[in-house]
Amino acid sequence: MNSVSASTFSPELTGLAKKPRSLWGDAARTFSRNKAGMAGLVVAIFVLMIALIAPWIIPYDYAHQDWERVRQGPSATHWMGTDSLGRDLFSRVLMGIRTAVMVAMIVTFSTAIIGVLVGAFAALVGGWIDTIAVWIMDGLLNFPALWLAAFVTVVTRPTIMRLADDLYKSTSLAFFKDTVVLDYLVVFLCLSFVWWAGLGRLVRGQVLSIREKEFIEAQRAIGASPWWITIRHLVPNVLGQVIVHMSTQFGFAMLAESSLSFLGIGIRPPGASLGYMIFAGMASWRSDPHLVAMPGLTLALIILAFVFVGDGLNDALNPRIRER
Amino acid sequence: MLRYIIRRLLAMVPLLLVITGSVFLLGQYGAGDLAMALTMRMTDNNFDEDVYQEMVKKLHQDEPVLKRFGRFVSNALRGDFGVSYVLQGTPDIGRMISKSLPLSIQLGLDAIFLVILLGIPLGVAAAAWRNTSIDYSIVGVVTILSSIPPFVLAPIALVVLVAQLKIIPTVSTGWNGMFSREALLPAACLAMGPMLGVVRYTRASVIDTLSQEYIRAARARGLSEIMVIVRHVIKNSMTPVLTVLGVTIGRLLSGSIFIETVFGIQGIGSVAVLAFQSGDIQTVAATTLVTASLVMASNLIVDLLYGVLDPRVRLT
Repeated sequence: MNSVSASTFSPELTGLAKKPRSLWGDAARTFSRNKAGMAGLVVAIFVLMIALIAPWIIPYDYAHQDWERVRQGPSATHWMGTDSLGRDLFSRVLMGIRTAVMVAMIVTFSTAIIGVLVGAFAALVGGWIDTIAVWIMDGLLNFPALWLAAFVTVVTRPTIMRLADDLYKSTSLAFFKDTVVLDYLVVFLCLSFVWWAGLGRLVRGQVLSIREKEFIEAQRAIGASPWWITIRHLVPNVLGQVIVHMSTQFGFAMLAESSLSFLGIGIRPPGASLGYMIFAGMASWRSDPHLVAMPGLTLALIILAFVFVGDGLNDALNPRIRER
Repeated sequence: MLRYIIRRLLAMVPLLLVITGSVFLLGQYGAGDLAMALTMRMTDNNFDEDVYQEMVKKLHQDEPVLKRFGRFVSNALRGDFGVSYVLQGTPDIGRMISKSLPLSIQLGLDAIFLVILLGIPLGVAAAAWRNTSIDYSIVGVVTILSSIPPFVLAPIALVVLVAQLKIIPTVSTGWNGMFSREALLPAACLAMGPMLGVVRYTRASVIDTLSQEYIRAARARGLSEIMVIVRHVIKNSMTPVLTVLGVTIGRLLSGSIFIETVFGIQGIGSVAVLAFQSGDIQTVAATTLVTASLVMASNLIVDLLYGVLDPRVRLT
């Protein structure tokens, strides 16, 4: 009896003998076939590497002013030309990439943590906590994002400056006197505050819909504990969406930093930011278009790369959407 | 339908509460004590007790919080946001907004026209020739143009179209009405951002509609493909596109800040930028509240249109 049933359901006969295919293996295969996604990934990795090693590969000091060489076009010595203070634009663009990546890194991870925690908590607990969480998330999403970010920046900057001043007086650490560090802090804070809501709503919706699926019901029926279901089934199923969201958000967070800096409320000089470079270049766009075009095209290329990676990941990790 | 409208309006109450509440809290308490912050600005960081007390009186900070919130809401409803104590000449914030908002709305309407007039036909075309080089080039070009942020796209457009190719003769700064020739370039730059969403949604929705039974029936009756698309597909695939248009309003308002800055249009974005840069919390709060309300109103209109176009929505 035993041998019969074993051979009836043996892997060779049912065709299940092939290597088991995991979600991630499948996703990697689908993604590698997506040309735009792969190109984006190459650029994105390149950008991250530049951000990591920028201070050691820039040909000139990014803040050094050379008054003999003001507003020169691109040349062999200065690949992207020089700006109105004679600073090497190529070095400044690389440092600007570093700034944007650093902001995006911190903002993406902090919003992911807040968004996942709030979204999952609201969905799992339910009741009035869920209702209030949904109100707050919908409220935040109804603001024009950039406007709210700017608002939070304007409001928190004086407070943070005062706090840092107090800390400097009591500790006399130079760290608290560095305005660039404080600019970063303000930008991290306000972007995180504005941005977690999208992911929060996504996670909440996913958890709610997956919880009603038959396979979760089956788990419950065979007596699995809520913790087991959460760790083993909810998390892996939501994770794909979260990763897709984070990868697109990363590009947009870099863009947001540049946007705030363009408006003069993000990273300000002496810090290097692509957005501020574009703003400064706008003063003379007719005579020196390269001052706008170089940082501008760099930023556009980076955003595009992250958009393609996000699209590719979306196709690879959410196969049901792909069919549309 | 009336019940649907009432339900949608009621659903907005908590949202309105959260939005006005957070603007009030951030504006009044975000920077610590608003009166203190303003006093420090006016006295160049030399604290003056008299100025401070006067400020507290002017801002009604001696009253309980709920009463102040009520006053804030009822004043805001009448368009009264007080005066700015930071900007030069203490201008009336409500008047600044009412003077600048029409320009922004005209610019936004221009952009929406362009998004609809270009985006929907492009999306339909991409769907009709799906998975061909036409489809790929439409989606590709729009993706690239949309991904370039407005504050990069606008200067590049200026450099290429005006300075190099001289296609557009002169760029006058300012605003000469929404149908003037000068309005085209800023509106086009503004429209590019949301264009991608509209093209994509139209494309997906049209492809979806094309696979329906009644389309096959229409083809079986001998209608040409163009007639099928014009008569049956477009109207039936517009509901999802509406949702995207709703989201578009928010993006247009954010984008408008940059376009107005680059082209020197004195819209609400320019007012906001001035306020951002001078750290004028009151004006920033007022403009944020106004734009958020605009976004909410447009979302409501989209919701209601949705109910009109698709009767099933009203019942859920």
